[in-house]
Amino acid sequence: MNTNEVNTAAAGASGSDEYITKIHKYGRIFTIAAIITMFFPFIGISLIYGIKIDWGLTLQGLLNCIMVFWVIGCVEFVTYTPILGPGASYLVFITGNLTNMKVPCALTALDLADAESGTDKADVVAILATGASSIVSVVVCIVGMVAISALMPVLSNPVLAPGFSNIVPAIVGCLLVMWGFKLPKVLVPMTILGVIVCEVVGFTLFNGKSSYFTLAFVILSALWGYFLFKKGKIGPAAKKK
Amino acid sequence: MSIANSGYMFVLCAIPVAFALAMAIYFMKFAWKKGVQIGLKKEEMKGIVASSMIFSIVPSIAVLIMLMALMVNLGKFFPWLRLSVIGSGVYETMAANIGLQAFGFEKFAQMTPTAFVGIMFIMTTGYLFAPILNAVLLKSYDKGLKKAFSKQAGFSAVLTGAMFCGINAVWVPQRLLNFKNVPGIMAVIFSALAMALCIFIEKVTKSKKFGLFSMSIAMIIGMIAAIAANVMMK
Repeated sequence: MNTNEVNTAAAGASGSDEYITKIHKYGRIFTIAAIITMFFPFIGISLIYGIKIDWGLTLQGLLNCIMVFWVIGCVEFVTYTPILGPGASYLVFITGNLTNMKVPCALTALDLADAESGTDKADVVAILATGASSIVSVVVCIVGMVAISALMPVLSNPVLAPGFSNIVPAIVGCLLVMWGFKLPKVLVPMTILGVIVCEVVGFTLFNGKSSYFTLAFVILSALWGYFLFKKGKIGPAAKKK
Repeated sequence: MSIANSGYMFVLCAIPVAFALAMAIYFMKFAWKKGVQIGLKKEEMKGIVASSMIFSIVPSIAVLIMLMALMVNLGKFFPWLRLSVIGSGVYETMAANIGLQAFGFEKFAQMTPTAFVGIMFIMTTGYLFAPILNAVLLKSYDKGLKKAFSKQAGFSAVLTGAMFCGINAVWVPQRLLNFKNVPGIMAVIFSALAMALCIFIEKVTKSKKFGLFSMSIAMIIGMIAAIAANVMMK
């Protein structure tokens, strides 16, 4: 281990256990409390206005919803938490909008800060990035709610609309190149494989069952990454060559 | 709609929103302190916060459009809550429609107060799985990952990077092969080209400050390409 590595390790480990314990403690408290407060409108409105809840129809709808969204939730938990680290994970799963905002934002910040996932530095950077992003999205939504009638002509402008509705594809293009530079030996074959699979199974199925395909590709990609890492083709060993 | 736009509704929705905002601020303060402790420069951390804020403005506009669409059907405040806490602009409309169908309605204008309350419950509970998993399993999952990472130096970066490449392998064909949305395809291509150019400029000029905003620049170029493609197709 060289001096630089020793310093980095010391910086990362300093108070690390205490820090992580606190992150998990407060993360859990905030998460549970946020889940409870999310039910306030439902409970409050039913009680204040004396609205009877039709549990039969509500649970029927919920079941349909769960079949779609709980798979997505499970995939997001498995795939995003190792990338974001525990602190940012607690935060983004409460503040929402992961795919279209928080995850790309955290990835960009981690890249800029040269922070390796799993370290305290990465956790700090990811929290700062996703926290800032959360504040912006909440403030923009408040402004939008208050000034919706003034903003309506701009947001629904037919010329600008294709730009607004294609923000996620624009983010995907950016991330493709960013990671293409960082991990080309993993990204290129995986992306080509993704395109081939999409062509073989058909776009409708690939798009409709994207959660399942995401899980499969994440596992496959992790295994391929591990294989290359063991062979010394990527990671610190490859850099030394 | 009078219930959905009532003062009670505003207060009941404002509580979780304020709570999420407080959580973000608390975690940021906590991370800032830790950053100082492990030797991160204040300027560097300020740069991360500033670039993240700037980056988030454009995607927030997309969320605003979702908000606008949902407000027409569910009133001002509940969509505001959903898009500020836990929810996602991508899934909320879908969840609201599932709820509407469960109550046997085709249009939101037909919705009764019972259906409105039911839809609120469905939208709230339908997307709760990830936060629940977080509260229950994240600690042990994180412990397991850290244990695996500690055995091999540099493996964490490889594994998380590879996992993201796996996600990308699905995202790219979803957008690049969606021939029904040619502006979307143009957005992917042009934002990718712009990002490559930004990385090149950053490397040549060795400007870290430029790097802070390269993703925002590339994203806006991709959006402009989508607008241009749409205009040219007409």
